[in-house]
Amino acid sequence: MRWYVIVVKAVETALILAPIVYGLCLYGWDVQSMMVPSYKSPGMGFSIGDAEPVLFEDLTVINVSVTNTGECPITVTDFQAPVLYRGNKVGEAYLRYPVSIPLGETTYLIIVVELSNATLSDVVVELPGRVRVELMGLVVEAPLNITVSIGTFLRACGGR
Amino acid sequence: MVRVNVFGLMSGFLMLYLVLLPEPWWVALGGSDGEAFHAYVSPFAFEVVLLGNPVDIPIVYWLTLASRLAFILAAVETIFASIVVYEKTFKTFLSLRALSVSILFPILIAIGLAVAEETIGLSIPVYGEALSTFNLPGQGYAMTVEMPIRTYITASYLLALIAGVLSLIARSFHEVLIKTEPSIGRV
Repeated sequence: MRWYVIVVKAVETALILAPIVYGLCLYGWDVQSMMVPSYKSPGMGFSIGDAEPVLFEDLTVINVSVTNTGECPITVTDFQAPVLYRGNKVGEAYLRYPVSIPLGETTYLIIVVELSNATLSDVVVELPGRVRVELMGLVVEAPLNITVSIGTFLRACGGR
Repeated sequence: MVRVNVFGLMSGFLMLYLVLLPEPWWVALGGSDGEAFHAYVSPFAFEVVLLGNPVDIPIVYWLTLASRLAFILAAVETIFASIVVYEKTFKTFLSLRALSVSILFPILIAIGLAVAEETIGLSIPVYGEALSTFNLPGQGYAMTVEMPIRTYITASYLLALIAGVLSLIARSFHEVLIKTEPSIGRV
């Protein structure tokens, strides 16, 4: 191999390695710290407020206030839950339509309650369901338990 | 008659094109149209944005910079050796870097994705579509996240592969040119 080939290849290797060596110098030759990814995740979350039963267009619905506490807008696309009274299933509940919630805002979810024949008298009904939320192209499913006191519920149902 | 190594020239200019107009070689889009995350990866650039915020790995910047330099130098040497075909020794300058990198690239992507699956439990295919499901810890409950993922190899990768194959042909063609062209030294 001719001498100039060796010189060219040596210069080439030095030039290619130079940025890596410079980067290592900047990080005090701590390769591990150079390999650690840095990332700041945007906050995701929502808080559930009051659940208020009302009669709406001949339907018994529960208005649930939801506040978007995260850093990106969300859309609640689905909620399904059994209606439990004293541990027994007495009906079904579902989200009437998807709801978009901008950053920091509070919106009401309208949850339709369909009760089978049951006698409700005291304490509370529970809706232990799962909510589906869309945010930034992701579908997130999380548990959502709603508890409503019977007194207000019976008034909304017209005393059934 | 002046002879040039056409295959070497094509390979060299293709390499320059790939470095100077850097397009990703491999793309991953998560969520609808990459809204949840996107990854644009090539030997010269690495961009991963997750939920609107970039993921920064310091060493990757320096590695891609070195890779850009390596490709530019390989391209210049290849173009030079394709024009100056009088010396047999110049065959050394017909770089096979594009070929080796384009062969290694999908292998490294596959290894990287296997590591990602092992460490964060996120399964991403090297090529194709998948619906990835994973659990995120919430406040006292686990959230299940569904994310459609689409990955594909771009035309730039195919160009790199073509540049690599051309450089391999150029090496063989260099021998032919040397045999048919009298050396300047001997003229």
